Amino acid sequence: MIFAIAARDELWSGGRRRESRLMHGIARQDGDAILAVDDADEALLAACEEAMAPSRAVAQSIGARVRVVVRATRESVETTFTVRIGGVSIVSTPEHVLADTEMLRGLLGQRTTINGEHPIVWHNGSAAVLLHEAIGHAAEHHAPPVAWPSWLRVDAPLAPRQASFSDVPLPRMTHLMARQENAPFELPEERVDVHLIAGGGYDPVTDMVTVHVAIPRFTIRAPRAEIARSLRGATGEPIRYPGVICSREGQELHVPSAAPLMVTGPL
Amino acid sequence: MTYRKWGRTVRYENGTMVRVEEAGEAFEEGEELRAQPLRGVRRALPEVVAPLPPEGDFERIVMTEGVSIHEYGDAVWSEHARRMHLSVARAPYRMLIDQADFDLDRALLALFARIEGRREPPPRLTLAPRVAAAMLPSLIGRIELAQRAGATPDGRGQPVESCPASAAEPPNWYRPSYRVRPVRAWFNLMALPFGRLDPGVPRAVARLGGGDVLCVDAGGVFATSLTVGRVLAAGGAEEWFPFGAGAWGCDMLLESGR
Repeated sequence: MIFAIAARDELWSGGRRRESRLMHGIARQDGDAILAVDDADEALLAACEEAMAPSRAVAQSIGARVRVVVRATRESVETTFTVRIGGVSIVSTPEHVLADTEMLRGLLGQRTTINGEHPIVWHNGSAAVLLHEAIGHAAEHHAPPVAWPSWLRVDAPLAPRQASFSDVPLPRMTHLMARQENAPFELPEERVDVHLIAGGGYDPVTDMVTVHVAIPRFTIRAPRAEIARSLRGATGEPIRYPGVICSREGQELHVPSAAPLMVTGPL
Repeated sequence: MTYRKWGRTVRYENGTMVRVEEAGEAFEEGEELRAQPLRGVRRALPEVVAPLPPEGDFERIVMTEGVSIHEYGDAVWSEHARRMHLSVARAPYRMLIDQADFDLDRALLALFARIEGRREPPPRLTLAPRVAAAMLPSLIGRIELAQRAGATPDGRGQPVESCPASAAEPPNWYRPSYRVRPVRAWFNLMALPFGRLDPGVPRAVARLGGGDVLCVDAGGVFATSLTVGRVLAAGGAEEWFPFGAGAWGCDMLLESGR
């Protein structure tokens, strides 16, 4: 099995480039052995540089702290933008980055700190992050099943993925798409409105899910079964969430994610 | 000035053996760091023997053996590094081991297997070298620390010389990879011995997840949170650990903080 990659990673701040890294290599896997050499696949290198050129112009125009990563493999060319303003980040793609950045700017004024005593309404597809941790990562670790609501459908297929030619491929989510089928839905009058997530994690040893909410600012830490029990309802079609860079064993990968507007109990 | 690195590593990672050959260069133009592979510029490197993984039930095991040649201006140097990272799970606890050799301390695994639960932090406890080494950067400015001279230069080719380590700016630059912008850091950090150790207090023998430590006393083996109060004594440096730019572990007696 051969994996080849060319990637360029640039960090922009205030319209100026601060860091630029090129990486390329080819890994040949034979059973449990991998030989990884930083040879260049010229076609991938060209595809990477071609995709970076217009993305660079977009990063420069945004003016904020922007990290652009282009990864060209034999399967695809993927460009992701991580835009950070006021200590809050979104992760986006070329077709959505300008709109997502505007949304981020608009949301920053709502960055209050609250506690989790009220039901939570998950906007902008942010429930996808909760489910990413509680269902996706739990599946990666073969966690025992817990009872999720019958109206919830989650498609989070696993496939061998690796961040770099020198990494070991791991079973990782390729995407997470959550849907609802005839779910109950009632918008609570007293509630916490979640708009953006800062990060999260799933610990297979304790079966605990952690989600750091960025807007508003608070942290959820609960066992997976409690997360499942907390789901009260959802409405509408899945909404693309702007931002899941997933890190496992030090390998950062983009996981496109979407979920409908969802309500959970207090967490 | 351009930094160049040629490296070869063999890594055993959770059942897979990975051999990596790579070379790269990095330079700073104004405020911008640029890093890229060194195409077509190979250098002869010593052969590396694949690590032999120990038997055991590990949640995560990463063993790396590597050789590298570095060049920064006129300075050229080589390094040989060995690292082992282990995590061992015994729900709800996770023991973390990071060291610069492949000698697995089976006694530590046996102690962890005997963990009986969690207790409040004892009023005083002794940190074993592998725990104290991880704590040293947080003790800068609180106790007397020093940078110990290193056998190889720093990330900008400058010698790493012995000197007191304080809250002031370190004289040396740490560059863990050619892809990473070098940062000032204390190398081979060590506590200067002082005070009197007390063998009668509970001993924190290993780090656990979540900021806890694995503790042993006459009553048994337990997990407790590590809250550092006053440091009462430090013994002599015993073993080098690969935390940041390196830290020398020692026995350290401290009061639990509040």
